[in-house]
Amino acid sequence: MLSIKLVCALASNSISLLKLLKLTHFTAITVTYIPYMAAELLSNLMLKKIGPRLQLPIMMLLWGLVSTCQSQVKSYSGLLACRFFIGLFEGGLFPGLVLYLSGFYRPHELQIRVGLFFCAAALSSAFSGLLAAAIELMEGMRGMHGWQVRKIDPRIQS
Amino acid sequence: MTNHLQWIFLLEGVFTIVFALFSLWVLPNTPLDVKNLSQSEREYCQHRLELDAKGSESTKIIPKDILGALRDLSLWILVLTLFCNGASLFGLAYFVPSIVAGFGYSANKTQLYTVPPFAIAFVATIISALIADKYKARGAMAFVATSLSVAGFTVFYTSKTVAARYVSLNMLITGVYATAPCLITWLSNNSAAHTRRATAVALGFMSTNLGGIVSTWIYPKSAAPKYRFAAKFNLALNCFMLLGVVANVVLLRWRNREKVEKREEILAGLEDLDAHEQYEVLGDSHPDFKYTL
Repeated sequence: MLSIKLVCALASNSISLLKLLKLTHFTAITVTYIPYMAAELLSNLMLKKIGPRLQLPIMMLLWGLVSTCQSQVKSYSGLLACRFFIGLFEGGLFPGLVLYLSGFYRPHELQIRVGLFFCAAALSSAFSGLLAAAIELMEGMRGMHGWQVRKIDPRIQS
Repeated sequence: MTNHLQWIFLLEGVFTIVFALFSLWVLPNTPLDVKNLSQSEREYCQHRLELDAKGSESTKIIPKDILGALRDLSLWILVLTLFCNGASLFGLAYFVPSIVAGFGYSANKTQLYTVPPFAIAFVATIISALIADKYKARGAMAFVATSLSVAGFTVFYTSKTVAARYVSLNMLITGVYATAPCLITWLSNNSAAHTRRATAVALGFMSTNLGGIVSTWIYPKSAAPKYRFAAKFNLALNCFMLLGVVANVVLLRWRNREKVEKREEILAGLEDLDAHEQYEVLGDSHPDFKYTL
């Protein structure tokens, strides 16, 4: 059975995901949103100096590495550290890409590109939800419920 | 942490790493570095950008321009509007699944029913962007899209039946989603030169996220599935957005007129500089820079 809550949390946004991770609302906001928002401004100001060719992929690379590490985290403080760095590296991507696109297209050609980019972002979170569903489904087919380490929240088991 | 989440974090991390490496290989800095274009095509791209003075922008970050961007009234109007839009946009993530769940269908069917509103919003975002680009009318398009979400939240607030709520959901999701790229593009279009644009775009996203944080407080589970307060709150935000959009159009139209009438006054003291240098100093207040309405 799919746990709808998990799928929804991944398909929607990070706050509900963080609630699943048992972070309090306050911690979730301070630990992820603050570095995220600080990164938005700082990375945009650095974008032309470092060059988008390097800066955007490197931010992505670091954030991918932290997300990979996050899958192996065993402690609460480790989890907080991962969320902090994911926020820091991910924050600059959205404004950075819009600024980057504005350097490639004329003003009256920009909204369709920004619009496509927003749509892609919405689709990717839907993809996250699908991925969650697929993983749960595969586990169900192989009958490997046994290897669940521990449950975050009994309510997510549906 | 369950193994499910571990797998998701791992897979998402690996996808991101692979794509980052791919981007590192193909991503160009400017149109002049695009690998699969011929030299003449690159020069043509650059020429097109120079028509808007963008190709010649300096790459330096000018601290004075960061403050200059902050003194712009039009920027603050759009930042406030984006804050309201962000509160509605991020709120949908709580709102939509629980509304549809309230219809009382099975889990799978519930998932399925959340798809059509987003599919409609997707198509509407693309079509509205094409129209807004073609007619260079961001304000008008933001007004139309936001009116749709105002109508959507109104129907939602007054609705008595599940069917009416579902219809209103389609309207408000479409309105809220189509507005976001319109506003952020508007902000980018009207901020120049580079430092001011970088600051404006970042502030726009920051206020959208700030709105997102606010949205985490207005959907308490106890209020599901009618969310009376949230519906009123969103309705108020979207009405405020309509005011913001109108105010910005009026302001920009006035500025465009001033530029024609007071050309000499604006350029006073800068007559010795060439056009590029004038543009670097004045940015979007240069008389030849026409604000997109």
